[in-house]
Amino acid sequence: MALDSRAKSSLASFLGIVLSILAAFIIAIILIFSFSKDPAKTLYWYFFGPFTNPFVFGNMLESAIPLLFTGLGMAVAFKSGVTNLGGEGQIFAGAIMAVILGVLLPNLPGGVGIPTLLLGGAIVGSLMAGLSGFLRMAWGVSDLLTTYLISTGMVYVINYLILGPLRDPAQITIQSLSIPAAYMLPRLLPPSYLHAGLLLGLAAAVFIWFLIYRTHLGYELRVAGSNRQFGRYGGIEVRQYLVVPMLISGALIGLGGAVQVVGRYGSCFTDLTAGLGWNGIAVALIARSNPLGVIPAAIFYAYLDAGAKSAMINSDITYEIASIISAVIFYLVTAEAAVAFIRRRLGK
Amino acid sequence: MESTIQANVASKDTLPGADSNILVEMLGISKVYPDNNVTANKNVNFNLQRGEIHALVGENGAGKTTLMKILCGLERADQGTIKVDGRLVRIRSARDADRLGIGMVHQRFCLVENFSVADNIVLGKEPLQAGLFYDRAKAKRTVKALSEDFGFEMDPNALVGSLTVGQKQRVEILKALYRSSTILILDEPTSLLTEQEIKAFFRILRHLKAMEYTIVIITHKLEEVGQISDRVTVMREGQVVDSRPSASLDKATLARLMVGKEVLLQVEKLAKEPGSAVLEIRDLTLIDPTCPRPLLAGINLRVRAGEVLGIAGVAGNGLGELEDVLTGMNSRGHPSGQALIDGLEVLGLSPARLRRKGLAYVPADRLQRGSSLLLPLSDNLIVVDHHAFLRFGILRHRSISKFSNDLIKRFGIKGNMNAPIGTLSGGNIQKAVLSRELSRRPKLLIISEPTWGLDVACSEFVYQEIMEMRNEETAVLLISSNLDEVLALSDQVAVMYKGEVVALFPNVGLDRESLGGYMLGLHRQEVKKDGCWEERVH
Repeated sequence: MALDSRAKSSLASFLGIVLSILAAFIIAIILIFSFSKDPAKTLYWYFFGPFTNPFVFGNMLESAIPLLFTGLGMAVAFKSGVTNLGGEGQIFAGAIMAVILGVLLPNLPGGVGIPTLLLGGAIVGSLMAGLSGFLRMAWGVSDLLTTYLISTGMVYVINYLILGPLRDPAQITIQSLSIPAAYMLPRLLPPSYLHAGLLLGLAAAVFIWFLIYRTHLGYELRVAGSNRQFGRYGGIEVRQYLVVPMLISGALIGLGGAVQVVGRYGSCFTDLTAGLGWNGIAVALIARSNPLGVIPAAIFYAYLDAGAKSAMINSDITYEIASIISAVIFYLVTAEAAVAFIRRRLGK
Repeated sequence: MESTIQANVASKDTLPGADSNILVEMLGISKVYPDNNVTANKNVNFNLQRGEIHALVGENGAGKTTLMKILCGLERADQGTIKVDGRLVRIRSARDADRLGIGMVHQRFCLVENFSVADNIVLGKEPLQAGLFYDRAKAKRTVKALSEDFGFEMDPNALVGSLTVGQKQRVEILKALYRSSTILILDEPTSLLTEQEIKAFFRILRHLKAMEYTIVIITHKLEEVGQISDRVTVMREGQVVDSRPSASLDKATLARLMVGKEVLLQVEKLAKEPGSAVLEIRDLTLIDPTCPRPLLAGINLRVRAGEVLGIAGVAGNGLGELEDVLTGMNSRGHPSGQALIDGLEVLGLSPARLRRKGLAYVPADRLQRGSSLLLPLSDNLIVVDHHAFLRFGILRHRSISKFSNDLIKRFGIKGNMNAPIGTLSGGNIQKAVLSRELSRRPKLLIISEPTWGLDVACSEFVYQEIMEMRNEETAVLLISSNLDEVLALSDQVAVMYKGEVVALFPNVGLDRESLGGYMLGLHRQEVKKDGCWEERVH
């Protein structure tokens, strides 16, 4: 009886995902047919464009890298029952910290310098999110509010740094000073931008999965995150688990920002985050907060984005239409995942 | 089956001279909750006469609330029919009940604290302006008029959050009246009220009765039956035991009908001498400033190794608070006095530290407190002792599997260790909680409502396990509103009423009826202020 209903419910959620993906693609196809004069061509570029040559394929994977880190950060927060809406600020702070360290310490060997920059980014992100966790633990301040507010404030501070003290006067575009070339990660698939940060992201996913499902800390995080009262009852000091998951979540997202600097840009500019913090939430929802699930979820997101770009370049649809199509697909997929997430939260 | 009942009813319906005074008639109502296979109602017949106040009484779990939920569309009966005004009706939702003028006021209020009284009352049925905008002025006028008609003295502008419990209840009643309900069902309306508030509340009920409203009050307070009701229906174990005019029943008879006289569950209890005191409670008091009386008042109890102290009482008399305070889960009010485990003060310690002192605890709320429904069964089983499964901070999966499978086998838990525990049935969840707590070989076991919602076979299993713990020299504190199980398991029986221990007996020759009297506040043991309980009893 119990097994029956369990099988039924997992079948239902599997079907739900398949159906919503199918519906999303059907709507995308209808949109393409109504807006494109050559729908077959558009369809081809939209769905197969990202695989047509190593350059676009590499760039697609590259754009998945920051999503791996932000998605993991959000997954840890969800699993632990805390809310981190500060991804934007944390990723930005991680990036600027990497730039600052790179500029201040220009003469380290790459093998020391890169980890230093990455660590610096992770620590800054961690402290930012951890502060919200501390505020909730100490005074019960909503982490939903404080993560968002701290992050938003931080964005302005960093913008000031980029426009002011850290600006590189030698550049025409507005950007910060650059880190030494020795601190850049190697490219994996030149001429595409794909860099070794991908391996770091994959390793982070495996590490976080192990941490959550196989370690003492992860166990207590999951217990406290799924039901705080039960955790307390079972003899776990649950108060600290308002802060610890925030530290981990912020560290991952800050690390993502630092990876953007050492892997891709070498410097920081005002639009570096470009919604990566928010998209991380969507990625974590599609992955159902499973750290290993974040890998396909991040790549799926990057694939949709790359498909839209490729259709735009190679056929007659505009950027706006391409974005709308990506958005429709993405909303439908996320909505199903969101519903499932909510259903689980409610314990139904 | 159902159709034949309906056919009979329909043919009777056409007979002339049917009792026109009967407003609501429920016939052959049966309801089984499939989750835990509990029969909440079994072929129940119930009727309401126009303009009466009808008391529906019975112990916890007797099926009163289920029956009334069926009447107001919140639950569906598996079998049976309902007639209102002699017409067969189908009540599938609260909306259907609403149309028939049936409204229910729940034990726990459903009010928006930061809305005004008027906003709360019209919520869901707001007067509109131009068919679109909320007409707040009209809502206030309507509520004010309604409140005056019924003598409620409510300020429609007051914030609900600022009201007393008694006033909130009046808001709830007004909500029903605003929806033109003429049949009001009140679920344990007095359980949260002070004496004065109860008096005022009864005045309101009489006033409503004079205006031809029909009222059901669900209660287990016997004195109220005589004070307020015209007729009384007694339920026990899902069935109606008796239904008659209240005047013809005295409290003692009522108590006997409520608790019944069926055979006790047979539990084999070895005669044995208890060991030394494990848990001692001295003058334990819990005061919540927002509550007029202490939640716990000067409790003195002692549990020795190898004995079961059973605490009986009706819900709402401090059993839950005692459970929370002793297990470190209390979040309400300020406890004072002493609680000692092996002579060491433990009052106010966190659950983590209490557990290190050898406490095992099976909570009444096994779904929210005793388990985390989304986590796998095995994660639930190891929570208290998960440190034992660590090597260098990493969980040893093989030993967790072995441990889980051992418990699953030994306790006959039907479920997969990797499936979320929430997918198990209620009985199996309780077995899992019990298996985890008992696997610790505890010094002290606090177990609350251990068989609530379980079927007979499962209950018996739980009883055997508790007995085994006792025989292995665990001190057991059993908190239960089920008198049968307290009598079957305990060596000593204490009764709580309104936060106090009103009686303490060795469990020799005790019967349900006399204990029932203590539970319902009809008697209390005279006690001296000094000395320990044993001296008082002897």
